[in-house]
Amino acid sequence: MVSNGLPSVEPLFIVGFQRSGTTLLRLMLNAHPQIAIPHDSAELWPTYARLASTKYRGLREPDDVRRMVGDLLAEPRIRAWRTTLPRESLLADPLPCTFPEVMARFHLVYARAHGKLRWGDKNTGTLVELDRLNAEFPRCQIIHLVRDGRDCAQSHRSKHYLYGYENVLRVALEWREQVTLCHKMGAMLSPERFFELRYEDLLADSTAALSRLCQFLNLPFSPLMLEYHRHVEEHVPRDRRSLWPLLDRPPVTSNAFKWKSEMSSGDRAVFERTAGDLLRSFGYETSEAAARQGKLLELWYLVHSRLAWRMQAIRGFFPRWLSNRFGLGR
Amino acid sequence: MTQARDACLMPTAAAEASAVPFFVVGEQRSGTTKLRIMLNNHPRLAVPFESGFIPVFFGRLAEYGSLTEPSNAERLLNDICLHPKVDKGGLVPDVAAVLSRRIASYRDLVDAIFREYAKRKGKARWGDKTPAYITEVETIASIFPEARLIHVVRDGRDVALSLGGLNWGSRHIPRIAQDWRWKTVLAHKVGTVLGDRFLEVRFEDIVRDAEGELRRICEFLGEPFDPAVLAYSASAESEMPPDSMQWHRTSTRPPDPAKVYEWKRRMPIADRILFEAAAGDALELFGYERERLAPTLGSRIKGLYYAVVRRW
Repeated sequence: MVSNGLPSVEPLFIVGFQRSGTTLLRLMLNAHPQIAIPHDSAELWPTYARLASTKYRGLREPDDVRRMVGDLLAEPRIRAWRTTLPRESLLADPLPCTFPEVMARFHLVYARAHGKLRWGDKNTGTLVELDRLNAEFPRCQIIHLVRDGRDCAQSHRSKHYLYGYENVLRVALEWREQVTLCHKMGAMLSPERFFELRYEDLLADSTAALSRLCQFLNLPFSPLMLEYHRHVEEHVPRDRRSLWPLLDRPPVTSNAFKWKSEMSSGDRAVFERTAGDLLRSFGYETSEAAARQGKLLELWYLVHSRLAWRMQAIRGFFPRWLSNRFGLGR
Repeated sequence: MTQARDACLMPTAAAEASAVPFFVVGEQRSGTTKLRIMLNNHPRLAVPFESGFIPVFFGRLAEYGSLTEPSNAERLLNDICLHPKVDKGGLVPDVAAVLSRRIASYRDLVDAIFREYAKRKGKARWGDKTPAYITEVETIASIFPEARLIHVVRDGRDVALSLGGLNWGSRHIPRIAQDWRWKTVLAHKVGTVLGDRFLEVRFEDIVRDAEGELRRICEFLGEPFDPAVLAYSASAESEMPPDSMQWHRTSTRPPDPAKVYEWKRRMPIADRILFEAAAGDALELFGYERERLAPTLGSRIKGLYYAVVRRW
């Protein structure tokens, strides 16, 4: 499909558990002269994928497509791309007539506006939806970024990213489930289509990791990728910047394995007891001695996760330092 | 299809070569044994008792070195024979016969074991039924990239009831629900990526319309449908290790519609609420009824009991 200057190109998807460095990787790839990846689309595309068959009546009529495109243009997540997407380009011939075509068109128009050739989407939620991605884009390439789950848990706690995720047991369970699902689904794709990368390796030797990634993407390596930090202002919404304080500088190698210095032995034990096998399978060190501690703490997390929705009310009764210690804060 | 139809029923070399293996997986107590026995009645298919060893030794291949070396292959095969499931099912009665086949890789060795089994049964094509491989679909698919995979799903609440009736089964409803949800959804998703080499069948549909479902399965396997698969014979019991028969009393009998959605009659309300709370999304995914009952005092107490007291 080559028409109206919109070539058909294979999309690439960055997936990974929350707080695994997917935003860093997105900025790095986005700094490549041929790749355009806008800010995390979050619930946007999965929601519209569902709505396509209901609200937009399976996109059977051109009017349904126009309605969807119009609604999408009004979405805050699309506006956060901060790029003018002309309606006539979005609806140019051939008119998209399936949901994946609409999604591809938005990304293609975005990429073209930035003078790029390939489009990509970064979404932490699609980690467990590789089956859907693969069905929608049968030739897409998928990059799974994996980070030591203990660091994900620490990062969740320090950033208060999502309510309830200061609970290490909960993060450990979700990390184990989601990363396993993604890994196993990805193993079903050919190595030309699925690439697994450790965040720690990306930090330790960015040039080597990005070279391998470019090889996977069939693109020449570009040193501009390492200059990603110069584009933070234009590519990360200002109100979200506090979630990634380190993005405005070159890779900070000390950001790997922070749990070694920052995580309590109890939390570490809870995490390793829950997800130790998966940690080891990705080459992360675990300790048998540590995994025997923290049984009481685990019990507390268990109760905490069951009562999480009541915790907001309860935490008012405790002094602040106590609430923070036991993860009652937000 | 035509290829399969042309192949003669006795295992000739050509028919053996064209036979792509298949694997039946599923959560425990989901009717995989019933399906295995039905498929075994097919004149071309041989499915032994659970093999269990394939992913185990795949992860330990480094210990054995190159399998082109006959002594390495023999050492590995001897260890495989010691695996409890292999031993119990009597999968390898003749080590020499397996080793006399051409073995250059782990895949060849596994293939040789099953081909020998099929040959003894006078069948042209082998399959495997090991419920535990449900979490190892990707390992199986990497060893046998052309293999066909059949995922048998049964309403998790019936699985829980069935487990509750066994002396080795768990009665911990939330844990069973989580386990059922995790395994079935995992297999479903990995299988979806696998595409047309993956088939999902519901136990309930096999009971309701055995012929229709078995025709679908035969078509998926590229085999002609044979009415023999619907016939239940006493000989089926001879294909089970005798001490396992007690767990499979209904597997060798014609499907009993009363076993479908038995939970509606026999499962306590509190258990149903707990199960749905833990696995409601998966029930919906596979098209099973959701009750959406509000938590009762009983279900709350039971849930807390399972979560805190019966934890370890």
